[in-house]
Amino acid sequence: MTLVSFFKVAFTALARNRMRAFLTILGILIGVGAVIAMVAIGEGAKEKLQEQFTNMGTNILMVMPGTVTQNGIREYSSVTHFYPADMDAVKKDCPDVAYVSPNISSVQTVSAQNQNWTTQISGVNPDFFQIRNWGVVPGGRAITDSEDNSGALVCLLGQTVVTNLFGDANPVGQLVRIKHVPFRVIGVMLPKGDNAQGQDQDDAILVPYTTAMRRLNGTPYLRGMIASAASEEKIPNAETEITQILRQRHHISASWQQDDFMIRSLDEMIQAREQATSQQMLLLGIVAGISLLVGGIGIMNIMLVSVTERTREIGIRMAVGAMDRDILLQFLIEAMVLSLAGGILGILLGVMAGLIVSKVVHWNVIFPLWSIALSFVFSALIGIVFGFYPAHKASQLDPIEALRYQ
Amino acid sequence: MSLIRIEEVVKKYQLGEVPVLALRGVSLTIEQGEFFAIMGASGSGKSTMMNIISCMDRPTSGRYFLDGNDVAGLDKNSLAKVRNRTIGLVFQNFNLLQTATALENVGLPLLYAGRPAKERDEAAIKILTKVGLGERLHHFPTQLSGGQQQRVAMARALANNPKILMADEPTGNLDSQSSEDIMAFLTQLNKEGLTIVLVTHDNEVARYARRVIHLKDGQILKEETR
Repeated sequence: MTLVSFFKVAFTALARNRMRAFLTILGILIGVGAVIAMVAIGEGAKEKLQEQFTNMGTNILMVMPGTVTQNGIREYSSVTHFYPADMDAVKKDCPDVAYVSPNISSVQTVSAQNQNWTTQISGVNPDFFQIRNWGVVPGGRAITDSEDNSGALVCLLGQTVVTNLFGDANPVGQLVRIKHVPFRVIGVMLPKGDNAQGQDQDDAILVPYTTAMRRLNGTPYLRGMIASAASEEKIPNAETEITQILRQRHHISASWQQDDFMIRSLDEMIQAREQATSQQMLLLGIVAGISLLVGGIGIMNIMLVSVTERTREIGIRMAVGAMDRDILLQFLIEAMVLSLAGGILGILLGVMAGLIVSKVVHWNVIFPLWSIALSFVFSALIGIVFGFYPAHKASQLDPIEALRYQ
Repeated sequence: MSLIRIEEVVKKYQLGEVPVLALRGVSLTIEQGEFFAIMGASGSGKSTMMNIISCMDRPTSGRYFLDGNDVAGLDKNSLAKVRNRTIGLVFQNFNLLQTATALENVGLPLLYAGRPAKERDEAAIKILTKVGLGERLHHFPTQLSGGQQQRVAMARALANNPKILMADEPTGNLDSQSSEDIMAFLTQLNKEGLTIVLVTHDNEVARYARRVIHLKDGQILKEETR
């Protein structure tokens, strides 16, 4: 019962000077608001990233030329070449690899009817469509093995390319010229959207890889391979198997010799991303902690002033029977009400700010319950911790001297 | 058994290097129902004595039995409890909470006695009506005259049904009419059985009391009974 009365007393005391109360809690308000908004944006970005990774395909391993520098850092190297035979060997001799597709591409200007468009032409095989989970619009078809083997002049167009070369018309059966060579369009790819780097995946043309090698890139080798493991658990096994096969084929026999290639799994990349995100979160936590600390000091400052101003009031209360803990509790509750008000207003501000940002960057922001709950709890704690010293000082006043205070 | 019994009470202050003896071994008893006054010049120790008797302060040495209980060695919080239950205090400068209404001021001792809001308000209304301020329950001290403020203070002192009412120069800041009203009210309360202990330097005020002691230099100079 008395506790409720103390809360009422606290509210009345704070309401007496609203401007001062507001300025006091501004620190906590802004700090909490910033953290809520940033966490929401971060969570939304994480979700969007997850979507994009799934969009790319599952259980993917990327095989690239690579080398290890003196510092033990693996990096891309343009020296190593992969050959179609490498790819076939991986497909045949790696039981935990389900599909393999070549990595070869170039940027070309293509023309159709009287339109031009510059885009990326990628050489692929039938496995590509499985690996990337990327299908063809009904009415068209994917590239076949025989077309691969024969270097056929066929191609598939991404949605963006279609729009820019053919408008609304159906391009299947039409011709496009790539490097002055006529290619027949055998299908249109389903829309894919942007990838994790923000590039438009629909701005692409797919041709048989042999055609790309011979006609577009003019090289007998590939820039790498994309493989997909049979399942998520098999990814490490697949990685080992590919490594073994390629070492064999590239004549790297001695165990001390480094691979001349790198294998990156998408999962690795996701993990790396997640690690970066947790580092960001840690940083955010530190920033939040500092701003709450500063806000708390502000509260302690104002409470000290308040206690001094109300010395006589404290003396009067003691004279009529208030004990140490009554005075302590009263001022502690005042401090906690202040900090909680800052926290709650901060949460509201953060939610509003997050929603506004969401409109600007076009992805969802997520307000996880833990961020709101934590903000609430920490705001209350700040009030109690930083309000304690002034409240304690108040409770230790001598009633006779307090009554004499002018 | 005496309501108040103090024996050889000494109060020593340390002013820097110099020790000051405000009370040099004072003893007296006050019985229930008495109207008692303590008189003395400035520096005689009368305020110090009042502080000790009203349990706002502790003696340096000596004994104090209040209603049979040894209160001389009590700690700060226990003294607060005693003040809350047994003693009603009235001050020269009223000492009301400026930011609270008359009703809230009077209810203050009841708040610290742990009474719920409804009980506090009911009791406060009753007492404020008794002192003639039933129409001004929600007034703030700044909206009341000196006499009215002192009546609120008295109502507050009576809120928890204390055994003793202790007043330190209660009419010091009042005009003569209000002073008379206050003293008349104290007389009435005393007739109803309340023990009253008064500190004053004013003879006119001391006349209302039936027993008066005079202090000088921290000791009882003389005692008179009317």
